[in-house]
Amino acid sequence: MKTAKISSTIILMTVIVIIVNILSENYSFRLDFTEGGEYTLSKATRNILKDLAKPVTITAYFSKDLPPNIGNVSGNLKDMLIEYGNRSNGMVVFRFVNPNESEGLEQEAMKNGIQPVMINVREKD
Amino acid sequence: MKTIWIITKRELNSFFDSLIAIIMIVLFLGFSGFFTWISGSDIFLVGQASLRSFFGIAYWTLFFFIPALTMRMLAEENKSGTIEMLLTKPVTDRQVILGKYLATIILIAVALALTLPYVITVSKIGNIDAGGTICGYLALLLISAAYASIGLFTSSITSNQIVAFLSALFIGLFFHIIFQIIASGMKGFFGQVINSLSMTVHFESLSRGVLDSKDLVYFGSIIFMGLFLTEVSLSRRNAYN
Repeated sequence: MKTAKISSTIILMTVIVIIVNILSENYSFRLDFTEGGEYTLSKATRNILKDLAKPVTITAYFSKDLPPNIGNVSGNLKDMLIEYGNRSNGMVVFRFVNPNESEGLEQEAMKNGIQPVMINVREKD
Repeated sequence: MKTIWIITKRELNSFFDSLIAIIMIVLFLGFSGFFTWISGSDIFLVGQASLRSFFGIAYWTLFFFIPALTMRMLAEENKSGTIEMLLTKPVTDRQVILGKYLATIILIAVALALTLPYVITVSKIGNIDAGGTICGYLALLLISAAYASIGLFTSSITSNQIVAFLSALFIGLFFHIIFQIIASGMKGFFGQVINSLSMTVHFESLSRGVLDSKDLVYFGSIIFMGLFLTEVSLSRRNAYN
Protein backbone atom coordinates (compact mmCIF):
# COMPACT_ATOMS: atom_id res chain seq x y z
CA MET A 1 0.00 0.00 0.00
CA LYS A 2 1.17 3.51 -0.72
CA THR A 3 1.81 5.79 2.23
CA ALA A 4 -0.43 8.46 0.69
CA LYS A 5 -3.22 5.91 0.37
CA ILE A 6 -2.84 4.97 4.04
CA SER A 7 -3.22 8.56 5.22
CA SER A 8 -6.21 9.18 2.94
CA THR A 9 -7.90 6.03 4.30
CA ILE A 10 -7.34 7.23 7.87
CA ILE A 11 -8.80 10.66 7.10
CA LEU A 12 -11.78 9.14 5.29
CA MET A 13 -12.54 6.77 8.17
CA THR A 14 -12.23 9.55 10.75
CA VAL A 15 -14.66 11.72 8.81
CA ILE A 16 -17.14 8.84 8.50
CA VAL A 17 -16.96 8.15 12.24
CA ILE A 18 -17.49 11.84 13.05
CA ILE A 19 -20.49 12.02 10.71
CA VAL A 20 -22.03 8.89 12.24
CA ASN A 21 -21.61 10.44 15.69
CA ILE A 22 -23.24 13.71 14.65
CA LEU A 23 -26.14 11.77 13.11
CA SER A 24 -26.53 9.69 16.26
CA GLU A 25 -26.71 12.91 18.27
CA ASN A 26 -29.75 13.99 16.24
CA TYR A 27 -31.50 10.65 15.81
CA SER A 28 -31.17 9.01 19.18
CA PHE A 29 -33.48 6.72 21.07
CA ARG A 30 -33.40 5.80 24.72
CA LEU A 31 -34.38 2.66 26.56
CA ASP A 32 -34.91 3.01 30.28
CA PHE A 33 -33.90 -0.10 32.19
CA THR A 34 -34.14 1.29 35.72
CA GLU A 35 -36.63 -0.55 37.87
CA GLY A 36 -38.81 2.42 38.70
CA GLY A 37 -38.50 3.83 35.19
CA GLU A 38 -36.83 6.90 36.68
CA TYR A 39 -36.17 8.45 33.31
CA THR A 40 -39.51 7.76 31.59
CA LEU A 41 -42.90 9.40 32.02
CA SER A 42 -45.17 7.57 34.41
CA LYS A 43 -48.66 6.46 33.51
CA ALA A 44 -50.21 9.10 35.78
CA THR A 45 -48.27 11.83 33.98
CA ARG A 46 -49.31 10.48 30.59
CA ASN A 47 -53.00 10.38 31.65
CA ILE A 48 -52.91 13.95 32.96
CA LEU A 49 -51.25 15.11 29.75
CA LYS A 50 -53.88 13.35 27.62
CA ASP A 51 -56.81 14.87 29.53
CA LEU A 52 -55.64 18.46 29.50
CA ALA A 53 -58.53 20.71 28.53
CA LYS A 54 -56.74 24.04 28.32
CA PRO A 55 -53.33 24.88 26.98
CA VAL A 56 -50.55 24.95 29.57
CA THR A 57 -47.59 27.22 29.05
CA ILE A 58 -44.33 26.36 30.76
CA THR A 59 -41.68 29.04 30.92
CA ALA A 60 -38.13 27.97 31.73
CA TYR A 61 -35.48 30.53 32.62
CA PHE A 62 -31.99 29.47 31.59
CA SER A 63 -28.95 31.62 30.99
CA LYS A 64 -27.16 30.96 27.72
CA ASP A 65 -23.62 29.57 27.52
CA LEU A 66 -23.63 27.60 30.73
CA PRO A 67 -20.77 25.14 31.34
CA PRO A 68 -21.77 21.74 29.91
CA ASN A 69 -22.27 19.93 33.22
CA ILE A 70 -25.01 22.44 34.09
CA GLY A 71 -26.08 23.14 30.52
CA ASN A 72 -27.02 19.47 30.12
CA VAL A 73 -29.86 20.05 32.59
CA SER A 74 -31.48 22.44 30.17
CA GLY A 75 -31.09 19.85 27.38
CA ASN A 76 -32.66 17.14 29.52
CA LEU A 77 -35.51 19.45 30.50
CA LYS A 78 -36.07 20.39 26.87
CA ASP A 79 -36.23 16.68 25.89
CA MET A 80 -38.76 16.07 28.63
CA LEU A 81 -40.88 19.08 27.67
CA ILE A 82 -40.89 18.02 24.02
CA GLU A 83 -42.18 14.64 25.13
CA TYR A 84 -44.82 16.40 27.27
CA GLY A 85 -45.87 18.37 24.20
CA ASN A 86 -46.12 15.25 22.03
CA ARG A 87 -48.16 13.31 24.57
CA SER A 88 -50.58 16.17 25.23
CA ASN A 89 -51.50 16.72 21.57
CA GLY A 90 -49.87 20.13 21.64
CA MET A 91 -51.64 21.32 24.81
CA VAL A 92 -48.36 21.82 26.64
CA VAL A 93 -46.46 24.73 25.19
CA PHE A 94 -43.06 25.66 26.52
CA ARG A 95 -40.64 28.47 25.93
CA PHE A 96 -37.06 28.89 27.04
CA VAL A 97 -36.16 32.39 28.18
CA ASN A 98 -32.69 33.77 28.65
CA PRO A 99 -33.06 36.14 31.61
CA ASN A 100 -29.73 37.81 30.87
CA GLU A 101 -31.02 39.30 27.65
CA SER A 102 -32.65 42.36 29.17
CA GLU A 103 -33.42 43.98 32.49
CA GLY A 104 -37.13 43.39 31.93
CA LEU A 105 -36.75 39.63 31.51
CA GLU A 106 -34.58 39.47 34.60
CA GLN A 107 -37.24 41.37 36.56
CA GLU A 108 -39.87 38.99 35.20
CA ALA A 109 -37.90 35.97 36.34
CA MET A 110 -37.40 37.49 39.78
CA LYS A 111 -41.12 38.24 40.00
CA ASN A 112 -41.88 34.58 39.24
CA GLY A 113 -39.67 33.52 42.12
CA ILE A 114 -36.52 32.54 40.20
CA GLN A 115 -33.43 33.70 42.04
CA PRO A 116 -30.21 34.07 40.05
CA VAL A 117 -27.49 31.55 40.96
CA MET A 118 -23.82 32.45 40.82
CA ILE A 119 -21.62 30.06 38.80
CA ASN A 120 -17.87 30.41 38.56
CA VAL A 121 -16.46 29.82 35.10
CA ARG A 122 -12.80 30.23 34.42
CA GLU A 123 -12.34 31.53 30.91
CA LYS A 124 -8.92 32.96 30.17
CA ASP A 125 -6.29 33.35 32.82
CA MET B 1 -13.95 -17.04 12.38
CA LYS B 2 -12.24 -20.32 13.22
CA THR B 3 -8.84 -18.74 12.68
CA ILE B 4 -9.72 -15.87 15.00
CA TRP B 5 -10.81 -18.33 17.67
CA ILE B 6 -7.53 -20.29 17.39
CA ILE B 7 -5.53 -17.08 17.94
CA THR B 8 -7.82 -16.11 20.81
CA LYS B 9 -7.32 -19.47 22.52
CA ARG B 10 -3.58 -19.24 22.08
CA GLU B 11 -3.51 -15.75 23.63
CA LEU B 12 -5.71 -16.83 26.51
CA ASN B 13 -3.41 -19.78 27.16
CA SER B 14 -0.41 -17.50 27.24
CA PHE B 15 -2.26 -15.19 29.67
CA PHE B 16 -2.90 -18.03 32.06
CA ASP B 17 0.48 -19.73 31.58
CA SER B 18 2.41 -16.59 32.47
CA LEU B 19 0.23 -15.85 35.51
CA ILE B 20 -0.63 -12.43 34.04
CA ALA B 21 -4.29 -13.30 34.04
CA ILE B 22 -4.28 -14.55 37.64
CA ILE B 23 -2.38 -11.51 38.91
CA MET B 24 -4.63 -9.14 37.01
CA ILE B 25 -7.82 -10.80 38.30
CA VAL B 26 -6.53 -10.92 41.90
CA LEU B 27 -5.47 -7.27 41.82
CA PHE B 28 -8.72 -6.19 40.18
CA LEU B 29 -10.85 -8.04 42.72
CA GLY B 30 -8.64 -6.86 45.57
CA PHE B 31 -8.78 -3.19 44.67
CA SER B 32 -12.45 -3.08 43.74
CA GLY B 33 -13.44 -5.25 46.69
CA PHE B 34 -11.51 -3.08 49.13
CA PHE B 35 -13.04 0.16 47.94
CA THR B 36 -16.52 -1.28 47.40
CA TRP B 37 -16.92 -2.91 50.80
CA ILE B 38 -14.29 -1.70 53.25
CA SER B 39 -12.98 1.79 52.58
CA GLY B 40 -13.85 5.06 50.91
CA SER B 41 -17.45 5.74 49.92
CA ASP B 42 -18.32 2.06 50.20
CA ILE B 43 -21.75 0.46 49.97
CA PHE B 44 -22.36 0.62 53.73
CA LEU B 45 -21.56 4.32 53.83
CA VAL B 46 -23.84 5.07 50.89
CA GLY B 47 -26.52 2.94 52.51
CA GLN B 48 -28.29 2.08 49.26
CA ALA B 49 -28.63 -1.38 47.75
CA SER B 50 -26.92 -0.41 44.53
CA LEU B 51 -23.58 -1.23 42.97
CA ARG B 52 -22.93 2.35 41.88
CA SER B 53 -19.86 2.61 44.12
CA PHE B 54 -18.43 -0.59 42.63
CA PHE B 55 -18.96 0.68 39.10
CA GLY B 56 -17.20 3.93 40.01
CA ILE B 57 -14.18 2.03 41.39
CA ALA B 58 -14.04 -0.53 38.59
CA TYR B 59 -14.11 2.33 36.11
CA TRP B 60 -10.72 3.42 37.49
CA THR B 61 -9.14 0.00 38.11
CA LEU B 62 -9.98 -1.19 34.59
CA PHE B 63 -8.50 1.99 33.18
CA PHE B 64 -5.11 1.05 34.66
CA PHE B 65 -5.23 -2.71 34.13
CA ILE B 66 -6.29 -2.90 30.51
CA PRO B 67 -3.18 -1.21 29.06
CA ALA B 68 -1.14 -3.66 31.13
CA LEU B 69 -2.94 -6.54 29.42
CA THR B 70 -2.72 -5.22 25.90
CA MET B 71 0.80 -3.78 26.03
CA ARG B 72 2.59 -7.01 25.22
CA MET B 73 0.16 -8.25 22.56
CA LEU B 74 1.80 -6.82 19.45
CA ALA B 75 4.82 -5.05 20.97
CA GLU B 76 6.36 -8.35 22.04
CA GLU B 77 5.76 -9.86 18.63
CA ASN B 78 7.37 -6.81 17.06
CA LYS B 79 10.39 -7.06 19.33
CA SER B 80 11.06 -10.77 19.00
CA GLY B 81 10.28 -10.69 15.29
CA THR B 82 7.60 -13.38 15.60
CA ILE B 83 5.15 -10.95 14.01
CA GLU B 84 6.68 -11.80 10.63
CA MET B 85 6.24 -15.51 11.24
CA LEU B 86 2.67 -14.99 12.41
CA LEU B 87 1.67 -12.83 9.47
CA THR B 88 3.25 -15.07 6.84
CA LYS B 89 0.95 -17.84 8.03
CA PRO B 90 -2.36 -18.06 6.14
CA VAL B 91 -4.01 -15.49 8.39
CA THR B 92 -4.94 -11.93 7.59
CA ASP B 93 -3.86 -8.95 9.71
CA ARG B 94 -7.46 -8.45 10.70
CA GLN B 95 -7.80 -12.00 12.03
CA VAL B 96 -4.66 -11.60 14.15
CA ILE B 97 -5.91 -8.30 15.59
CA LEU B 98 -9.44 -9.54 16.25
CA GLY B 99 -8.11 -12.74 17.84
CA LYS B 100 -5.87 -10.87 20.24
CA TYR B 101 -8.58 -8.30 20.93
CA LEU B 102 -11.15 -10.98 21.69
CA ALA B 103 -8.74 -12.65 24.14
CA THR B 104 -8.45 -9.40 26.11
CA ILE B 105 -12.20 -8.91 26.18
CA ILE B 106 -12.76 -12.49 27.36
CA LEU B 107 -10.23 -12.08 30.17
CA ILE B 108 -11.91 -8.86 31.33
CA ALA B 109 -15.33 -10.49 31.08
CA VAL B 110 -14.06 -13.29 33.33
CA ALA B 111 -12.76 -10.73 35.84
CA LEU B 112 -16.11 -8.95 35.81
CA ALA B 113 -18.04 -12.21 36.09
CA LEU B 114 -16.08 -12.98 39.26
CA THR B 115 -17.68 -9.93 40.89
CA LEU B 116 -21.11 -11.59 40.63
CA PRO B 117 -20.93 -12.44 44.38
CA TYR B 118 -21.18 -8.67 44.95
CA VAL B 119 -24.47 -8.62 43.08
CA ILE B 120 -25.78 -11.62 45.03
CA THR B 121 -24.69 -10.10 48.36
CA VAL B 122 -26.28 -6.73 47.66
CA SER B 123 -29.48 -8.31 46.38
CA LYS B 124 -29.71 -10.24 49.67
CA ILE B 125 -29.21 -7.07 51.71
CA GLY B 126 -31.81 -5.02 49.90
CA ASN B 127 -33.86 -4.50 46.80
CA ILE B 128 -31.39 -4.15 43.95
CA ASP B 129 -32.29 -2.50 40.65
CA ALA B 130 -31.75 -5.36 38.18
CA GLY B 131 -31.94 -3.25 35.01
CA GLY B 132 -29.54 -0.64 36.34
CA THR B 133 -27.06 -3.30 37.45
CA ILE B 134 -27.06 -5.06 34.08
CA CYS B 135 -26.57 -1.71 32.34
CA GLY B 136 -23.71 -0.94 34.73
CA TYR B 137 -21.94 -4.17 33.82
CA LEU B 138 -22.58 -3.48 30.14
CA ALA B 139 -21.04 -0.03 30.59
CA LEU B 140 -17.96 -1.52 32.27
CA LEU B 141 -17.57 -4.03 29.45
CA LEU B 142 -17.92 -1.28 26.84
CA ILE B 143 -15.30 1.01 28.41
CA SER B 144 -13.01 -2.02 28.71
CA ALA B 145 -13.54 -2.75 25.03
CA ALA B 146 -12.78 0.88 24.18
CA TYR B 147 -9.58 1.00 26.24
CA ALA B 148 -8.51 -2.42 24.95
CA SER B 149 -8.72 -1.18 21.37
CA ILE B 150 -6.65 1.89 22.28
CA GLY B 151 -4.14 -0.35 24.07
CA LEU B 152 -3.90 -2.70 21.11
CA PHE B 153 -3.22 0.26 18.84
CA THR B 154 -0.40 1.65 20.99
CA SER B 155 1.01 -1.86 21.25
CA SER B 156 1.13 -2.10 17.46
CA ILE B 157 3.12 1.10 16.93
CA THR B 158 6.09 0.19 19.07
CA SER B 159 8.28 -2.75 19.99
CA ASN B 160 8.69 -1.57 23.58
CA GLN B 161 6.04 -2.74 26.03
CA ILE B 162 6.58 0.11 28.48
CA VAL B 163 6.12 2.65 25.69
CA ALA B 164 2.94 0.85 24.63
CA PHE B 165 1.64 0.86 28.22
CA LEU B 166 2.39 4.53 28.86
CA SER B 167 1.04 5.80 25.55
CA ALA B 168 -2.17 3.81 26.05
CA LEU B 169 -2.53 5.43 29.48
CA PHE B 170 -1.78 8.83 27.97
CA ILE B 171 -4.40 8.53 25.24
CA GLY B 172 -6.84 6.94 27.68
CA LEU B 173 -6.38 9.76 30.19
CA PHE B 174 -7.79 12.24 27.69
CA PHE B 175 -11.00 10.28 27.35
CA HIS B 176 -11.04 9.38 31.02
CA ILE B 177 -10.84 12.81 32.67
CA ILE B 178 -9.06 15.48 30.67
CA PHE B 179 -11.88 16.16 28.17
CA GLN B 180 -14.33 16.48 31.02
CA ILE B 181 -12.09 18.89 32.91
CA ILE B 182 -11.56 21.05 29.82
CA ALA B 183 -15.29 21.03 29.05
CA SER B 184 -16.28 22.10 32.57
CA GLY B 185 -14.36 25.34 32.05
CA MET B 186 -15.88 26.05 28.65
CA LYS B 187 -19.23 27.30 27.51
CA GLY B 188 -21.51 26.92 24.54
CA PHE B 189 -21.11 24.67 21.54
CA PHE B 190 -17.44 23.72 21.88
CA GLY B 191 -17.95 22.85 25.50
CA GLN B 192 -20.72 20.46 24.45
CA VAL B 193 -18.56 18.86 21.76
CA ILE B 194 -15.62 18.25 24.09
CA ASN B 195 -17.95 17.12 26.83
CA SER B 196 -19.48 14.50 24.54
CA LEU B 197 -15.97 13.20 23.80
CA SER B 198 -15.51 12.34 27.46
CA MET B 199 -15.83 8.66 28.34
CA THR B 200 -17.00 9.52 31.87
CA VAL B 201 -20.12 11.30 30.65
CA HIS B 202 -21.21 8.33 28.51
CA PHE B 203 -20.24 5.84 31.20
CA GLU B 204 -22.33 7.61 33.83
CA SER B 205 -25.33 7.94 31.56
CA LEU B 206 -25.19 4.22 30.75
CA SER B 207 -24.39 2.97 34.25
CA ARG B 208 -27.39 4.70 35.80
CA GLY B 209 -29.55 2.34 33.71
CA VAL B 210 -30.50 4.27 30.59
CA LEU B 211 -29.47 2.67 27.31
CA ASP B 212 -29.00 5.56 24.92
CA SER B 213 -28.13 4.99 21.26
CA LYS B 214 -25.73 7.96 21.47
CA ASP B 215 -23.58 6.21 24.06
CA LEU B 216 -23.51 2.95 22.10
CA VAL B 217 -22.44 4.80 18.94
CA TYR B 218 -19.74 6.61 20.93
CA PHE B 219 -18.23 3.41 22.34
CA GLY B 220 -18.59 1.70 18.98
CA SER B 221 -16.70 4.54 17.29
CA ILE B 222 -13.77 4.39 19.71
CA ILE B 223 -13.53 0.59 19.41
CA PHE B 224 -13.74 0.81 15.63
CA MET B 225 -11.14 3.58 15.34
CA GLY B 226 -8.74 1.75 17.68
CA LEU B 227 -8.95 -1.51 15.76
CA PHE B 228 -8.87 0.24 12.39
CA LEU B 229 -5.73 2.21 13.29
CA THR B 230 -4.13 -1.00 14.60
CA GLU B 231 -4.74 -2.67 11.25
CA VAL B 232 -3.35 0.35 9.40
CA SER B 233 -0.25 0.40 11.58
CA LEU B 234 0.31 -3.33 10.96
CA SER B 235 -0.12 -2.88 7.22
CA ARG B 236 2.49 -0.11 7.31
CA ARG B 237 5.23 -2.75 7.03
CA ASN B 238 4.27 -3.17 3.36
CA ALA B 239 4.20 0.57 2.70
CA TYR B 240 6.32 2.25 0.08
CA ASN B 241 6.41 5.86 -1.03
